[in-house]
Amino acid sequence: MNHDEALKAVVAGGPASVEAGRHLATCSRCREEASALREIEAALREAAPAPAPADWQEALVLRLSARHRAGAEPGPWTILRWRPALASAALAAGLALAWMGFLPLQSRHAAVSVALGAPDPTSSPAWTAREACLLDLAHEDSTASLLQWSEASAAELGQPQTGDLGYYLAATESGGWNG
Amino acid sequence: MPEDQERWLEALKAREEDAVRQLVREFGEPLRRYCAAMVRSPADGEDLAQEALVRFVGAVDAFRGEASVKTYLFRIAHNLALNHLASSAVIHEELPGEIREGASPAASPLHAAQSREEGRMLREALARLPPQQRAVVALRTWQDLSFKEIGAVLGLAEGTAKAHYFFALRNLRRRLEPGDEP
Repeated sequence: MNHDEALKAVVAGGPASVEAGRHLATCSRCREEASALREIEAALREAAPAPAPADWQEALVLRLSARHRAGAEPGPWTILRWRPALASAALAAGLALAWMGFLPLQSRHAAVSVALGAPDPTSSPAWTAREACLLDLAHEDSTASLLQWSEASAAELGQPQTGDLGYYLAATESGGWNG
Repeated sequence: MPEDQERWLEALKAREEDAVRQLVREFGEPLRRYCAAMVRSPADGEDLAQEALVRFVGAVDAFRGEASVKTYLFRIAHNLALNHLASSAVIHEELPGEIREGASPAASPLHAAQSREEGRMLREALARLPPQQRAVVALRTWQDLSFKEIGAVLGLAEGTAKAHYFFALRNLRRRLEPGDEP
């Protein structure tokens, strides 16, 4: 077990944590870093953002309840009234999807969100792990994002994912990537 | 999590105000914290948390219970936050009242000031992490989600979520070392 694998197991837990403990017993460098990372963890827990203003939740309940009630009883006439609108929306969505082939990835999400009106709340925008990783890479170079990109790409191509971080950690160890 | 989730969901689908109130009481603040950390703006965090709840309530009739409500809600919030980050040049904003929550009221003024300053520096360093690392840290440390749950929220393998967490902590440490430039 190399240094990073041991540290990851100590910080994040998992089946390798016993072996990691043995590594730390003999490696002062890892002991020191593990201790520093735990301090950061503890400080993070204490540095949570302040709570929202007291009236925020109550205002939110009122707003949600009002919207919830408004959409409570659609009835058959409501559905009939919306049929032309649904057909128009479907046509617009089709045109938008054809057009989006020419757009960069990040613009596509906004367009999907608008065109389809978010039928499934978790898929609006439909961020896959691969695409979220692209956003990471756009923000800052991140080795973990590269790992995730390769995993997600392998999944999309139907190749098995090993979940093995060895190559990733080895590259970090050798100074090839900066994590 | 409401104790009897099934009964609570039925009440929510029946548009009972108490069920909505319970939803907000249970998840409003955690979602707001998460969104604020992701988009680095308390005000936008409030808006995004509200939007996540609105979308959940709007689609609750279609909710099958295959994921937990908590995971489902954070997934909605995460996608909204990514969309927000992708579509706008977000400028970090920290309200003057946003102080370190854990500071002990019994601590000396000097200690309290140091704690506030440390908390501010830490949140700023967190805000400079890549979004996925920031997400994993916020879900782990402030929401106490397991790595399996974090993986479900972010669409990652459990092992990848752990790797993000480890490298996020290491990045934070480097950024907090004296002499590190933003």
